[in-house]
Amino acid sequence: MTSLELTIETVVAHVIARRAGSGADAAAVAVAARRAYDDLVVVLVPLIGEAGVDALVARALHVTTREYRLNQAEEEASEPFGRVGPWLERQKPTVALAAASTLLATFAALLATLIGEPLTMRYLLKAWPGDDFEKPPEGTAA
Amino acid sequence: MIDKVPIRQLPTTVPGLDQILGGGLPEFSFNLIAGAPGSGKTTLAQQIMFGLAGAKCPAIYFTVVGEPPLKMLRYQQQYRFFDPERLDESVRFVNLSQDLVGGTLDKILARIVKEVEATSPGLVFVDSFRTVAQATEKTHDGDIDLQHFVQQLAIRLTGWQATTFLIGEYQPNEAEHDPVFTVADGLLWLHQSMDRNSMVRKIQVMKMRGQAPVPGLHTFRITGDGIQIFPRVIVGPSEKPIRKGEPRKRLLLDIDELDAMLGGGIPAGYSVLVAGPSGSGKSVLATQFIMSGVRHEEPGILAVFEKRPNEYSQTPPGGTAFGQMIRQGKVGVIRSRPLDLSIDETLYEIVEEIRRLKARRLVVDSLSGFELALAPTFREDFRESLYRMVAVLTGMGITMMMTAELEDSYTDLRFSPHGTAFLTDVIIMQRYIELEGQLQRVMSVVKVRGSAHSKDIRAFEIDKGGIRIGQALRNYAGLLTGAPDEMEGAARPGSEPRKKG
Repeated sequence: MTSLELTIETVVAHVIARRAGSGADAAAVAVAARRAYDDLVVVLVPLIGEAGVDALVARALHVTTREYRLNQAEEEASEPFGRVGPWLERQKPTVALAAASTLLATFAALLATLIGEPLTMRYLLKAWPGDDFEKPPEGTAA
Repeated sequence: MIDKVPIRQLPTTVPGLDQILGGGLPEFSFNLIAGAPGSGKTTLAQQIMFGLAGAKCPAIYFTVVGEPPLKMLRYQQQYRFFDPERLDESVRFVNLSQDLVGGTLDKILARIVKEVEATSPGLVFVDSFRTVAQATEKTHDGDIDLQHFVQQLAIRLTGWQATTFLIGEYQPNEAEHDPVFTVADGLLWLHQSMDRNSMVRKIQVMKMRGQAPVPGLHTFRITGDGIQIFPRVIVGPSEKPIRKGEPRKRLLLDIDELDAMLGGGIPAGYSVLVAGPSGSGKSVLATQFIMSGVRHEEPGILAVFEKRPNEYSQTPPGGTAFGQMIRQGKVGVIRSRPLDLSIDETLYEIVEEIRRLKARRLVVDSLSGFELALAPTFREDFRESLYRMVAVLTGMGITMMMTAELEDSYTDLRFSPHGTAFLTDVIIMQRYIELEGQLQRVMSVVKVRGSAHSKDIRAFEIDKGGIRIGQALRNYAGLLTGAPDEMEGAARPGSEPRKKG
């Protein structure tokens, strides 16, 4: 698969699964999602500013948590992505992986609606270099 | 030994910009792009950046609060010059919003310098610099800090061999008080104005140290390709000067009688005004002028401001043959874009078409339509602008024919509603007169500068072949009153005219 054929969803799913590792539990998925997000923030802040990143992640959370319900403490967490970690840790690994992928993919898809998919993909690949997207990620713990 | 430092001029690739800058962008200059919101500052800056940036000349574009970067990236991508493939290669965006919030000018300066020193960019942009300045007004002592900051920025970036652009929303009356205007080597001011329902954009190079920019306001247009500037044309020396006493080549209309009336055709490089009332045959004559040019290997251009171009290929004298000449590229057609044109934009299009076709003849049909096609703000100085246009085109050796519609007046003799008759070298007048209860067309050559010509008033008809010149109406008195009286021995185009007395 070449980068031109990659989709945002496949790239995000691949990155989180690979970083969490084979047979990962929910806590490992939460850590992997956090690191993937932080790497993305590093390349995006110079481009769209911290305010731009915060606005997009807040919107992504709003959209995603219609499906995955947070508790009140998580809802009130000050840092947008900080709300997600504890919630992911409480889930089954497969649910945690799906939710983390959906959240980051939603974030990236929102960015793509504003600055275009080619540019978004360019920055995803810049944030997560070295990932072999041609190789299917190994599964997580059931 | 070289006793002057050479200043390299960078070609900006923005059409028309290098010309008004005086040759290009001075390398290592510290410039300000100023103007009201929406005037095209960011578009101009990014077009310059994508045009100039490359592996040997990388660019950093610092975004400060102003327009949110997300939106800027979204909208600027719509222009064809914006190349996403070059982001983080030769073009890098750096957002300074967080540095600005609660930060000091020293902190912002340090951040800019740090980024510049890390990558040694050849081009640096700060958009919007005004936001930086406004933030300092709130938190610092004002001008002294800002002046120090601007000077430090200019010194550091020039010292790092960067050509710099600050972009800011300024009003013209602020130029006297803001230190950035003093420190800047180059100052580009973008204007936009509404007049009735038409918007006109203009750019002015207010200063450009080390070189001579073209003075005045130049119109520009923003399209999907970005900004295109139409430099204000300044009349210079003729490209094809005629030596004293050297006879001018004559261009034929292939209407034998009219060519003879003109003294052997129209002298090359002359401007011709064909004036007459509606339906008198001005466009027919103009079409014949272009068609005869094709026969004599003198390609022509038809600038249409009144009719639709296909009307010329549906009516005499050209009919389908004229349409074929257009399709074969032997005749160029420039169509009007009504109501928001500037003379300079029109002139630019005409000159481009002249160069493409190697044209020798030009028709402007009609001056009234041309005036209407201009944005209202340009109609006010139509006469002066037309003078520049005629001078530039005839200076290129082009022979141009302009039509002007006149309402027939039988109490005075006028040749143009625009007071432009004095601009032209040749005037051909067409009129209606009444003879024997019928309207008859007559034509006369009023002037051919520096040349003998016929003084006759001659009847003419228009048929499928075009204009047919009839006899000279020499034995009538009062032809220009519209109702002539026959004198003895009158030559009649038709039957008996009414007798005098």
